Amino acid sequence: MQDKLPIDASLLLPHKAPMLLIDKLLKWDEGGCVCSSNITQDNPWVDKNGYIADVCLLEFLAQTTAAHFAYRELSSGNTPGKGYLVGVSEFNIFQRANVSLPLTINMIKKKSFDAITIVHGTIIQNSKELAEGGLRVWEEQLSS
Amino acid sequence: MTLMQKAILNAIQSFDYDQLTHTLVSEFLFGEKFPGFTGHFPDFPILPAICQIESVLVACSKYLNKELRIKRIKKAKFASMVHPGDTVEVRIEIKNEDDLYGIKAALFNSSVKVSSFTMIMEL
Repeated sequence: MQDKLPIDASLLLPHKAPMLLIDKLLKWDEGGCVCSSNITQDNPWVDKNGYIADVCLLEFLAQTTAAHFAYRELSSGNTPGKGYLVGVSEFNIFQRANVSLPLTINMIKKKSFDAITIVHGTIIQNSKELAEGGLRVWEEQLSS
Repeated sequence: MTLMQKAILNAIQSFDYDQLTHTLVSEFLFGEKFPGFTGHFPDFPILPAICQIESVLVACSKYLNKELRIKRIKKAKFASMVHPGDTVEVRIEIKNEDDLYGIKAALFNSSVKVSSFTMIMEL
């Protein structure tokens, strides 16, 4: 499934600007994925000094998780279902992100039960970990 | 401050500190033109989870007259949706120790709990 990568996140997610905060899905396997983000100064989540609102670090991971689900479904010839963030657990923010360099978001699936998937992720910029933590995501179960 | 934070600040309709319960209570009206609905999602606009979290941050910063940042989200739960035109009541308990602020918050839409958070914010 890696042969189609990288792929634009806009082809995977229902989000549009300015709420589409990730850029590309770079790597994918059943257990997780890696996405990139290249937010620009004109995004309403960026302040006049080029800093991205801290809360976006959480959204990067949520959208990376959604990209993982969508790529799996599209690669299997299915239409991706809906997905929503339903929980956050111990999400720590160490440093601010800015628009000067791209961000890398790493997501690992930790556990799945019923329609819920628990993931853990890190957000990296310039080799520094800006944030890490866990999310709980609900995914619509489409009958095949 | 970001444009999104300014839009959230402008969405505040009322703002009060309840001395009896030591709770900051603020009402937000997220109108159809609120920028958080743009692109989330085009055919089904709902208030993004991060706008809900940011509403707590904006309300705390306004109350304390300090620019706070999120240091840790210990726990958050999202149980219901907010649509364009909805009024949301945000109830926040703040505990301060040095430069850290322990936050317990919940958002309600017509008395229905939308989300709840336990967070640490810092200056």
